[in-house]
Amino acid sequence: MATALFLVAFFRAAPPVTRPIALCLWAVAGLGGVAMAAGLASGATVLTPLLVLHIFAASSGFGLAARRGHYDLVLTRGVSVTGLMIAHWLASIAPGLAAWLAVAGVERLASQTQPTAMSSGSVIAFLLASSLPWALTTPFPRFAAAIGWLVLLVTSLALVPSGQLHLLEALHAPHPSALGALAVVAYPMGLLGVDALQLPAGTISPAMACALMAMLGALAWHGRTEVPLETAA
Amino acid sequence: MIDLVLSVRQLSAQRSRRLVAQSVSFDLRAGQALGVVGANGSGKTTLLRTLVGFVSPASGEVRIDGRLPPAALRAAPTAYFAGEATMPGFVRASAWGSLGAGEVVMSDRRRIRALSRSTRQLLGLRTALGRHPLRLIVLDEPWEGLDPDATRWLSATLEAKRDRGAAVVLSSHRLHDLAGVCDKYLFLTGAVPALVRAHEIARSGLVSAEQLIDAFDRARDHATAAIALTDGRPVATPDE
Repeated sequence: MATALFLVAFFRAAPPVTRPIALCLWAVAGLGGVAMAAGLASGATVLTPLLVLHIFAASSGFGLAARRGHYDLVLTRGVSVTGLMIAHWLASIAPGLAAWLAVAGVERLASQTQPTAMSSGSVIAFLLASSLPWALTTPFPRFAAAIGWLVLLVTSLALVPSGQLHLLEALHAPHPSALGALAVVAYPMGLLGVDALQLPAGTISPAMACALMAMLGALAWHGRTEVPLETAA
Repeated sequence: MIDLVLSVRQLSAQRSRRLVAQSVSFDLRAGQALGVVGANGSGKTTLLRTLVGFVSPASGEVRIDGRLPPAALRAAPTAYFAGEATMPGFVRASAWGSLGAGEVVMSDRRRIRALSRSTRQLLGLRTALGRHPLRLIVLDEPWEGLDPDATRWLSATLEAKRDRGAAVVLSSHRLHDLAGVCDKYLFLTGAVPALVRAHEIARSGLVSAEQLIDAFDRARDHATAAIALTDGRPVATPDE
């Protein structure tokens, strides 16, 4: 219990999500909430920029900070590297989760219907945005996975201007396809507000399996390796 | 009864598959202090991180209160600090300072990167040493960058904590600061480090900086052989 409280205190003092990203998340949630309450925007419209920002927030980077000794104070308490990483992940997704729940609450109050943020497709999109970017960024500097995803998305859309439509069609097709499975990872916004149970399992499950494997792989890799100082002899 | 805190047996430490220390063995009891002396790149930092379990030994073992680190650190309150560069610069000094014992050690609300080097070092030390009681203290170049007042504070704090029963391991290039605190010294001079007890350097056990420098120079000149420092006593003696 004392260790858990210390971890909370530590990540409050040294949050893995930068202040500008956290402020942007709250600004989008606040402005989006007002727009939804006024009937000017739908839940999916507000959640799309929120999901993009959350991908950047979750791409918080772990290994570089660990090798610089930023977590020595935590490790000195006998916390395992795996325990530290789980706490780091939770702290990385906490601002996005709070903003997501706030938007869901506003939409629920404004429309008295099932919030878009709570649909199964939206929840899957949020889980993917919370796990893959975090896991893939652990060995790299902050934002690495988010920037990689953004570059890939923009480049592919520039090369194939109608690519977004192709991705959405493949995503919502009644039969699973490789492009549909790719669309779940490359364009998770396509899942917002969708009932994922109506989609073929072959469309959703590869991305979920990738996310799970990436998370377990990151935990196993960093948990097994050591924490030398990058400046040490 | 011997209150053994740190027990190191045939420890070899490595950094990027390069061995930096081989066959290090020593015991450290409550109230004892060990000074680790060596040139830049000799492996002091890696050795100290191996002692607290942040780096796995290439061979041999470390035990803290009879248990293997890092799990041992849960039961044995430990302070470890490897210098001001290891603190995240974006964190506010007051927030970082409260992570030690929960008390405010610095009211300055500026970010750590905005502080002077001396203030950053002092903040890190006060945070790490803020927990009490401490069973083990491992500090890497703790006097580096400190102003004279802070230097005196650190030496007095280390002596007080040592006298209250903490085992202390310090690495430093500032031999005149080490000389006043430590009971024994580990010279990282060659392939096999030499362990020297203070009374092997000075009969009184109180080592002066000049005597420590002289002893280190002699160990460096005879890096791999067991050599006589004073009165024919061998340097690389097994501890106790």
